[in-house]
Amino acid sequence: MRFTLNQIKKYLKTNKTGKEIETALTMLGLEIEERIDMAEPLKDFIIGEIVECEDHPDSDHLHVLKVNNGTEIVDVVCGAHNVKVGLKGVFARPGNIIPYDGSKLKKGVIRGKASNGMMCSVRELKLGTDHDGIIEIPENIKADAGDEALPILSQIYDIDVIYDAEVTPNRPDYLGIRGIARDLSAGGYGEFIDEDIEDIKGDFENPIKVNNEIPDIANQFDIRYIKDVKNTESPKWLKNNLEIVDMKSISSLVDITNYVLLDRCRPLHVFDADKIKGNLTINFATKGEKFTALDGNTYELEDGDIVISDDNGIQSLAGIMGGLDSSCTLETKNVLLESAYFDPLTIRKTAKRLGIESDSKYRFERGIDPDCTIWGMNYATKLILDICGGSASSITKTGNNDKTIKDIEFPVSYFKQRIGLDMSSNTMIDILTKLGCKVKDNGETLLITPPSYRGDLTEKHDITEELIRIYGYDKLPSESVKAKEIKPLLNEKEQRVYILPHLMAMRGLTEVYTWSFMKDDKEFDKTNPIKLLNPITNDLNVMRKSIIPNLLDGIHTNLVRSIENSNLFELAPVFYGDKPNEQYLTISGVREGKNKIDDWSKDAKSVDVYDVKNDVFAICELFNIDRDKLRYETENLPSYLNPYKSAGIFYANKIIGYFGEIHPLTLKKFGIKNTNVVCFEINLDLLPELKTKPTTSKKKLELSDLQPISRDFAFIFDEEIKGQDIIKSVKKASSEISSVYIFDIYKGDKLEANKKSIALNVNIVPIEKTLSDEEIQNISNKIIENVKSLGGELRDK
Amino acid sequence: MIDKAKIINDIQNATTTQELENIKVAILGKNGILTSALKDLSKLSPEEKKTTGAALNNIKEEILTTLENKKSTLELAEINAKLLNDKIDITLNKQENHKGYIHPLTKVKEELIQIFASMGFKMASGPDIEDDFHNFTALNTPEGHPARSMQDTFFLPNGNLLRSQTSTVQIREMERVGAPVKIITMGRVYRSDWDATHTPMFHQIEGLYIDKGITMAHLKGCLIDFLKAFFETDDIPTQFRPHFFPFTEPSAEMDIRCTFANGELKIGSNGTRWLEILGCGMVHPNVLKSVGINPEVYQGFAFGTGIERIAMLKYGIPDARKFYETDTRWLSHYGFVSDDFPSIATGLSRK
Repeated sequence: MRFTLNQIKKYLKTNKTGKEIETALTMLGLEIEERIDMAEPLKDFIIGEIVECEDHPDSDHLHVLKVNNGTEIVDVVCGAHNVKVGLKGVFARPGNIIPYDGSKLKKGVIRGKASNGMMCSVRELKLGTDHDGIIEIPENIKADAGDEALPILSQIYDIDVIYDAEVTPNRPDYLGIRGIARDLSAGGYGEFIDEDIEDIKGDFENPIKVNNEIPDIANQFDIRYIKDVKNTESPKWLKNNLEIVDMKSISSLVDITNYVLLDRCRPLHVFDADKIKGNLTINFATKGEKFTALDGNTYELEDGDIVISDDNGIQSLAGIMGGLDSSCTLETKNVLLESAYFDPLTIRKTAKRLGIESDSKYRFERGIDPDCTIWGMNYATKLILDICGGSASSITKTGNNDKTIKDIEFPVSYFKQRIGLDMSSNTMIDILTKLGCKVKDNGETLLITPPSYRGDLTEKHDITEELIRIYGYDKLPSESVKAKEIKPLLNEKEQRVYILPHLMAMRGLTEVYTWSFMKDDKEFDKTNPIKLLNPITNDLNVMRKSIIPNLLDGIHTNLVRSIENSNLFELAPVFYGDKPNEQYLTISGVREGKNKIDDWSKDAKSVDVYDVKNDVFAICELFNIDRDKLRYETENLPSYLNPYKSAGIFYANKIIGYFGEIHPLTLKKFGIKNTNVVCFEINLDLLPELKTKPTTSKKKLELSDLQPISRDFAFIFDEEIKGQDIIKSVKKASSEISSVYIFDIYKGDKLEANKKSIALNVNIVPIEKTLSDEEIQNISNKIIENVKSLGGELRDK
Repeated sequence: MIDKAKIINDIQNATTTQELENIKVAILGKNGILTSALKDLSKLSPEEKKTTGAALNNIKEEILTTLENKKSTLELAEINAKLLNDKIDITLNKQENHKGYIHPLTKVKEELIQIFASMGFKMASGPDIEDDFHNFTALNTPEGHPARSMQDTFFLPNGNLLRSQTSTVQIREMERVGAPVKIITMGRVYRSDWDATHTPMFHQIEGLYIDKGITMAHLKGCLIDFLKAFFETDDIPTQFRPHFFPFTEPSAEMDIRCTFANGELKIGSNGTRWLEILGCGMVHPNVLKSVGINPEVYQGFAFGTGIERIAMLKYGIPDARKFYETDTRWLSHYGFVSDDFPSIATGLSRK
């Protein structure tokens, strides 16, 4: 909503400055997004007087002037037609910022002649749109060369303050200047001046009849015929009032309706009465009907859209936009003036579906004052008669105006109960009365009748808000919110999730955040995509089922910038369905290239799947999952993984995620070249309930003083043997085996094809007594026996 | 006869421990000249044995001492030579494994958790895909309400939507536990908007405190305490302005006094402008009714703000879009090291 200080002053007697009014409105809840003070950029301009004027020798339209700027006579080249000796105008000196385009004026040479300043036009000073010649200060206004231009210009032009405000949907009364002025007055920023509206009865009976078929939706539909008008260009005051707030001036008749809309939030419509055939009918459209609106577009209508039709068809889409066929032009002689109230919801639904924005629709859908149809009609009639002449008919009224106002019973104590601040009932009555409410003081309670233009006031909490709003939010008391007990904010699982990014970062992975949506063809799993109906772009049209594609994109983006070795992770949701809670909190990571920069030390190595497997272990252990209880499944892997270097991770027979190497074809698709990428993805919501101990007390530590024994074994196996199975089977040999690890794997000439040698170290820690040689031999034999059952043969030394 | 002087001289002239060892073997080894001489003593008369033996033993003693001394000298020289030979360039650095960084959004979320934990709030969370009821209707924004167009919402073909605010979680939590309730919620929200200050997805923190006797004064106190803690300053003038949200009444927006200079935010009473920082209000009775809480018994407040927004303000991060760009240069610059755990005890941020 754009409006100006002078427009406000029509209804508000105030001596507040433009900036003070801005602050006042902000504190009343009307947020000002922009304030343009037209005087501001004019401060440095002065009056210049033309003392000599000659034609430019090398131009047919330029002049060479000598201008007195109060301190010296300077040369100025000027193209305006109205230059003459003795003309006093506004002189821009080099260095002045020209308001029209924000440019800084420089000294120059125009076709060989020096130009050391500029005589300004109305448009250049943003005082209007006139660009026909330079400003000429009239004789009757005292002005001397070198005088400050601003005080002189203020006597000729409306040098105003323009505001652009964000009106919240609960306050349609703010969509008219009068409503804004009224609130300012209630807030104590001036005195509200209302004007009486003449009740125009009409000189003849309205010849056009109205058949309102939907009186409960078109609650009020009132029209009046005005004959013998002369539609012209609008008078200057009217034109200025619209143009200054960026509304287009069209013709007097149209401008008057727009002015009443702006001034009093009263949308109106004018039909060219000679283009209306027969009488008017208000009804719902039928599906498929077409309508060509004032904006030149043809719209296809649906059942339920409110339309106004004559014998020729639809002439107006109620409350939203009039029809092209019956619109007023400069040739219009007779008009039909409409003032109505339509159901806001219906207007909103139609306009939204058709995508039409109009000032009228914007107001109707928010709910205008239902009591303003008649006075609005009379207000506009007066303006039409004054500007365009003619004579008005009686008013034809239709519809069921059932907008009765409900009284609100307000317990005085409710204010303190909700706001925590004392306020006397006298103060309450004063505020509410200024806002236009009628208040009856019943002692403990107030009986409040809100004004018709405040449809948002229906309950006692609405009244509470009005009271504190006008009284001033700055007077709110402040009271701290204390914790009642010392307790963690996070539950056990959330606590581990809180640690997780730090754990990952400590392991060298950098955290990223990426969109929850992605392009459908980037998804690995293309079955049943979770599509968005209105994606912001087609590149983000489905909800992601995996984070990995986004991380691969991340690697690619970095590689394009020549940044290698990306190690990225994200902790965020992925989706498996289109209903609430069909999502998993997921942690995904990728590692690309080498584990460190390859420097003189030659320590760097390429990342491999065992690096991300260790990431998986770290995550599992954070969630109290024993890494030895994980199972790896290499069947049925998703296609983005290299099937020979990847696995599904199972815990308690449920899949919890994947890790492995990205398939070369996937890398190719993501434009990742000449490097390898490994990844992991764990759905944290698939982990079993976090098993925590009932106590924080740790298990007693039993340390053995007995000497541990270390033994190495080498076995020959078939190539397909799984290391995890060997270790499990060795561990079963004795409860005194504390650890087993593989320290060498050999494949090659010394062995048969399809065989490999695996060397193990077994650490035995005696529990009760030192083991005898025989006992150690027994454990060794058991180990060999167990391994044999897996097909392993002890390798000859 | 043993030429003691020559032997001593040879020892002194030896240049390596090996040479020394050779001398030792030649003299004192199994067949060494001194060993042989000592063996030959047995052939002598007791008288000669006594004098020659004493002389030989003196010589042996002297040679051994000289050998030991010379050995120490040579060993030291050899070790020094070896160390010198292994001399390194101490100014070189060895690359460490890649360092990981914490994203600024996570850091700020951790700071928020610390602050609201100290005020006794609990965490609640909820789904990103929501139904119309939790995103709108329960929040006093029924079908056709003009406030629905305040945000452009993403929809799914089945009528569900991507939550446009985390207030949905407030509804779910109140449905679950009723009143009293004192929670914060943080998560992703989605709005169809994309420019330098808007991204189609961003993060919100919201708070909800419903109990008996919770007033707008508590709202103000809570938020002032929050902002002081978050921006780590006591000089943080604030201003409450009336605003409209369908789910609160009275509603307010809160501004802080500040100045922007070279992209840096300076908060304080000498600031030149008010900057909007969050939205809040007393929970609308219709919202409480929609989750079965009696608004005549319980009341309270809710507030919310964008996590990106406060992160940008606190840490001087210029462009909201960069948060989602996976640019490791940006992440290592605006991110935080892995051992930076903000806490009330240790301070929320390192300077």
